[in-house]
Amino acid sequence: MLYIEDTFYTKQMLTDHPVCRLNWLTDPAQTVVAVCVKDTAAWIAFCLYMKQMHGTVVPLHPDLPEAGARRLAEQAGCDYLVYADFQQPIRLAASTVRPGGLIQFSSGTTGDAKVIHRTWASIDEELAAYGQRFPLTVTTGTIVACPTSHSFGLICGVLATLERGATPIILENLSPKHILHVCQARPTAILYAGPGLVYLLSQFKQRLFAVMISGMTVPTVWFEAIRDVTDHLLQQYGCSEIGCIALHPAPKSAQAIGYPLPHLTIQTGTIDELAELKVKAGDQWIGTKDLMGQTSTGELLFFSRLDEMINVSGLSVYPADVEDVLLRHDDVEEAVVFKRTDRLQGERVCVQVVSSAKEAALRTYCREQLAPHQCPSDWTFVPAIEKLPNGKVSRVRLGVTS
Amino acid sequence: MNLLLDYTSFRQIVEEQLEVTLRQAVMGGERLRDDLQLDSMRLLQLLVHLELEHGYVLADEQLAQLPQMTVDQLLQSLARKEVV
Amino acid sequence: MIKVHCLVSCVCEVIKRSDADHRPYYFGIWDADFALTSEFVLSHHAAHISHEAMLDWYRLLYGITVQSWYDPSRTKAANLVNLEQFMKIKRPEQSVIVMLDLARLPERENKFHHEVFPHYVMLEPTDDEDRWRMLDPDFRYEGEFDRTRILQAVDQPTVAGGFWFDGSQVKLPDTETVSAYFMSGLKRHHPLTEAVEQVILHHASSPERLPDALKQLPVIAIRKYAYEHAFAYFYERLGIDLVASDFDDWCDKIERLVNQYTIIQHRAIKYSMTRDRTDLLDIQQWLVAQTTLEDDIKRQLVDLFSRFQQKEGETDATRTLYDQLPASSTVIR
Repeated sequence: MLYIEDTFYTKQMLTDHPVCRLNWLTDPAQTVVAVCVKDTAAWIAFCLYMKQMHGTVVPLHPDLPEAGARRLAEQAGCDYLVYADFQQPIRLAASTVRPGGLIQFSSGTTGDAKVIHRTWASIDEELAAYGQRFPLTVTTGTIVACPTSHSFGLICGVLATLERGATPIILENLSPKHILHVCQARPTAILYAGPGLVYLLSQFKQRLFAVMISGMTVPTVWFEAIRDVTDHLLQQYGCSEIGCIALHPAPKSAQAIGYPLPHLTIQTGTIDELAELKVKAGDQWIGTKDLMGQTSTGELLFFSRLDEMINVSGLSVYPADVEDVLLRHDDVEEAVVFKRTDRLQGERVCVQVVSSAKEAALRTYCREQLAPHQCPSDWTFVPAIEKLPNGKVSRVRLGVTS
Repeated sequence: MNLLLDYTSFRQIVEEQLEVTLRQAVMGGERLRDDLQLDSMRLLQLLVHLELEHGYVLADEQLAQLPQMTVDQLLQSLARKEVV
Repeated sequence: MIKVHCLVSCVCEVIKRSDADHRPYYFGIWDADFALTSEFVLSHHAAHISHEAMLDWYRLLYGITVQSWYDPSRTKAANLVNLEQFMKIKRPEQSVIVMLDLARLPERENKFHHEVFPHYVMLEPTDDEDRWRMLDPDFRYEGEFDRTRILQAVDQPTVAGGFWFDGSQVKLPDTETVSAYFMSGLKRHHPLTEAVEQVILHHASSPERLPDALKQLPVIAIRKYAYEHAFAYFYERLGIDLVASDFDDWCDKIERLVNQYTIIQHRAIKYSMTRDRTDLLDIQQWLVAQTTLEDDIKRQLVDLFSRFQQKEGETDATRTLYDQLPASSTVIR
């Protein structure tokens, strides 16, 4: 069935696991259980069990401290939190009954994370479509070098592999040397890992058979380094609400998101007229906040984040946050924050400002109010902000033309 | 001390090959870089000359320490090149 | 601490006096920019080398904005006037860095003994308006000079540059930024060894100018000692005892990496005299050894870094698209 590091678990071993016979879990279909454990075998066995029994699970990152796990479990409306010990769950003030499935959190910029619920049915639908579009042979195993408490590792790494009848190899030790050792031992398996980790792996110059990365905000240097050591580089794009949205069998750049999975209805722009990618989930449209264009062959290309987030070497900056701070300054009349990109330095925070204050003074002011990576590095003082004919400001245009 | 080179010959070779004038007499205790003002490249040139013209070599492991050596240390560390 | 990179040493001075750790700033210095001219001469400094990226990271890590007081669009004379004025009005917590030709100040120990030696130093005024104090953290030198002598060393066509910053509020670098900085400085290949390979290749058929082409190799090679800072930093952050572990073994390897460049330089000089193919092959073997050794060092470093990230809960490396974008979607009604 699957490996967890060196140990092989048959289907029987997983169904015989004690977590499938918990005395406190009398009615799995009506129970919501948060799980925060380091024991991967127990978690996987339990997850598969709950899926089969139409229960609801809330996977939490194993490293969370108990208080944090508790908070999240409460927010998700859990009946129980299993923290390290399946036999001694923490009873919580429960819950609305859910129709089974997976509950996850999407990290928010401010305040609480959002609670996201997916039914097992929708996950199954995703798995079927994913399997249909998976470009390597069905026997390709998967080395899962990312947390199985997140959908990338759990759904695409583990469940999708089981779905096609292949063997997942789940790693608990995520040191580069170890991962590479496993890759070498399994030369026909595909590696699922975060792009940063794969970039570190590329430093070892060991050829990789196949890699699945997910990250359109991957810097070009990373993407090229990964591509240079990988025979079959695949890319996927998705979000916690929907799961995998697109898959690319041969991306030429980090922006080549992929081809939408067949089970989804999407709406997006064209190359000439970009628009936010929206995906239908049930009868709701979900906006991904990503500006994209779809080519005539159906390939999705990522252009930018809708909220114009600037990626300063992996650190996020939202122009609106920086503008708010500047506009609060007495001597600043107008300010527009935008990004410039260059190959070597990546993205930089730039600002066009209408102000009588000196640059040094405003820099100091920013330093006092913002994190260092949020402080604009390029300052341009103007008598008036450049606007489009319709009176609006285009941050994109400022970043390109000024 | 049985040195492969005496100080006079050493001085002569240094001045001729490296095209410098040593401002002081060579008595053995002078540090090659800090006292004789010989930079690392000049010292390497000196070594190459000693090897090619005289058959004296310095072990590779000692090359990096060369600038900090004294004249005596260098002369003591030189060995006759083995003819293969 | 071995002198590694003069500008880095200057800006790190104020960090060392604070509570912040200066060692992360050395990430990537092992592959810091150098120049290979069109005549295939290796040079540790060239006018086109910009320090903008390095200083940007300095700001991200320590919260200090380093600004240029030197204006390349103005004449040298105008810039010197600017420098003098700045030195008169500068406050104690402000630091001034200037690029000058250290060869113009022979009183200074000049271990590389080059005819022209562009170098960054820091300046402080003294009670005597005609005397300035020079602080050279790279060579660990501190001393007074006549103002005019210093200005003479700045007034050279081979040097042009200067910075200033306010060092009164040093921020402790956070793990996320340290992590991002390390990632940004990673290079799978080894630019210096590759450049030396190119120099050797280019001069192979007529090597008279080969020694000169590699003259500045030691100045650039010494930057490899920056690896030691990174190793020490990660070992400590991982709680690994420097004495009981293999830390010293890695320091030995780093030292060997630096020293083997001297061997290569020696062989190059020899080859330029003998023109013997055996000597050329010997150089090439040493270059392969350098690549293998540096591969080894970088791999260990990457492994350490990955462990550091995991220990610090810095999940950037393992984060996938699904988790890295905050509020990735909204429901549209």
